[in-house]
Amino acid sequence: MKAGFPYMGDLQVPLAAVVSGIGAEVVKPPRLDARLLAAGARLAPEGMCIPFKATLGVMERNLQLGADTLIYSAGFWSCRFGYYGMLQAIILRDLGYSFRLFELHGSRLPELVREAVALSGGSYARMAVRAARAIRLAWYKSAVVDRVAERERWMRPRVQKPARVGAIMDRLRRDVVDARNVRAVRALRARADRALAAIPVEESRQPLRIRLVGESYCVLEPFINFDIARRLGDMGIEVHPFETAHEWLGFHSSRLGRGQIRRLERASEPYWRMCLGGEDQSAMGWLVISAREGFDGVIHLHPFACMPSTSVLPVMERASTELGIPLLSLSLDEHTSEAGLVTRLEAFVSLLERRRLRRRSTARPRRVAQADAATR
Amino acid sequence: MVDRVGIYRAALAFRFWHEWRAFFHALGVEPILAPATTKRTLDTGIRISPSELCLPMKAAIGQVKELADAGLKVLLPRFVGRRVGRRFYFGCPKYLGFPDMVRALMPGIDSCELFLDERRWSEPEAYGRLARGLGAGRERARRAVAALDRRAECRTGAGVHFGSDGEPSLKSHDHGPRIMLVGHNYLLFDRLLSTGLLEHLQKLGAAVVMPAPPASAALSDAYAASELNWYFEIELLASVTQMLEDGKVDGVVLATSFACGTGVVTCELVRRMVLSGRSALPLLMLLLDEHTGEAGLGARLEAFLDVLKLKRR
Repeated sequence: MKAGFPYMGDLQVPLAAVVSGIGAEVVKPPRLDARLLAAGARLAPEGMCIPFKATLGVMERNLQLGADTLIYSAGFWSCRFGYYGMLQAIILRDLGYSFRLFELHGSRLPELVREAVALSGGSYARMAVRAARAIRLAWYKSAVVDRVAERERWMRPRVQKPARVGAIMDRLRRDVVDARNVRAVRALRARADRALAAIPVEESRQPLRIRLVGESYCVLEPFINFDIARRLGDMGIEVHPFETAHEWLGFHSSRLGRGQIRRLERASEPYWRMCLGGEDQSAMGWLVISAREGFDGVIHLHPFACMPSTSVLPVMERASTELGIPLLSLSLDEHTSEAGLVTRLEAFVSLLERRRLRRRSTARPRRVAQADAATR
Repeated sequence: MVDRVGIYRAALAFRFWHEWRAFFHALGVEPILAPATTKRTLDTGIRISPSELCLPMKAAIGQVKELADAGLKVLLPRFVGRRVGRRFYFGCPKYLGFPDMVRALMPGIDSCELFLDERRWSEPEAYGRLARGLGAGRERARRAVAALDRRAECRTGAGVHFGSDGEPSLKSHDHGPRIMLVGHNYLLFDRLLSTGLLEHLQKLGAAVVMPAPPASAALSDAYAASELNWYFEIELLASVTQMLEDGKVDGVVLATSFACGTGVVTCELVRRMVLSGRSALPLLMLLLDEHTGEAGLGARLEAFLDVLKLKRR
């Protein structure tokens, strides 16, 4: 079995570890780039959303590199995301590729186990041990990448040369994929931590804080969002994505973070009564929570014509006015231009900077006035 | 209790109008249906809705705005989905959030909500809640719910006509190439949104047929077998499949509105169904939006019919 799966930010790291850990071969496609995206956009129906086009391009490349099994996550929901596997399989088979479609869904679990046992030479016990080891290693790798990435986001606005931080992170990302065991991963992490600790940090700086919300793929895949997290970091912003690949994995594999969902439901309740199947309710909830937590702004990323995100957008705009938190909504597709996006980001950031300055200058006289009143 | 309720026409009314009319009449409330979509209504909708919304939803928002401006309480249906057999099928995601979207766009709007979600409660129960929300007494609410027309053809919405207010309708033709017109009812039977597509085709001498849902047993099978989870789309696909199997179709016109998310998937599946196999049929795909010009559309339809006539000879 030679397996390929769609590309989504750092999700590659744990997926590759699990699949290769149970004894299957993994196709490592090149990172998503303009060529793969264009190939996907050509094959996909015109009106499909950008994650579909991007993953289709990657999947075709996987097949060209010799994959015989394509792995998808799937869900029976109202959003189009759940049908990616089914539709892409039709499109790719029509092109003459033959492969097996494997949708990660509860109903396919027995098949998955059977497959894993076969890969372990028919021994159930051997499979169980290998799977447990693979899952542990994958989870550990994913957690390490997640922690260091979080540190990177904190450091970027506070260091002189953010590119040095980025280089350390990139090296970790590259090396961790090949790490064979937990000890090797731990060593990689220690090395990254040491390198990061050597970079002088302006601890006292209080950068603007922006939360990224919206559709998971658009938030997690740097190629699609023009690496918005790093870009903002370089502009001196502390970026908080509403979820990371690690958290995505935790939620979708073992329902971690369900308490978080209830918190989001409660926060969005006054504006948005139910989840439409995408990250609409989560985006709404995070907007409210970010306002409460004193964030300076929220950026909403979504695929062009995404059904849940488009529906929730006017509601988020209303809430942003009522709660007094600036909101920038960016719609992404294969025609989105880097220059246009950067211009909008810069305008948004300078708006936030002015807002902070204005607040400071109006805040002081009030405090002075209060002090006056107290002494009188 | 209010004596009149405004009902927008685009989208869901094309399926539920019979049900709603009977219900409100029994409740002693006059249902006021928004008139056929006009350019002005659509422009109102376009001005206030998010730009990436699909055309029928923009029209719906324009109609709601006009009904509200006329001082009516507006019905905001939230269609989540229905159960068929053991599975639950969703409506379009935009239906799920529609009332919240409207309330954000028109704060303070006088509205009542019909919350149809068979996971939470049965549909009669949802109507009962609506009746009580409107201030009806228990007995009157019970009578209104009992008046719901729950026949199968109403459930599939096959026979919804709003009466004689100039909406396009299917005419039977014996001659001319038989064209199967596929798309959502609320798009094809709205003259403005479909840029007069149906009438255009008929004027050009085509015998237009529209696929009707198969008999209930076959439809249930289609639901159980489908890999999709969209209530209306499965019905449409099953209808198309049946009509293609019956044959007697010379060509297919597939129309969907720009930014219709479910339509993209359905069209792709229908397109492959029509073009695959030995009996591939000529196919014209139309993407309609507020910028579609009647002349351009007419030229494409004429060219398509010419191809069909040549092929027939």
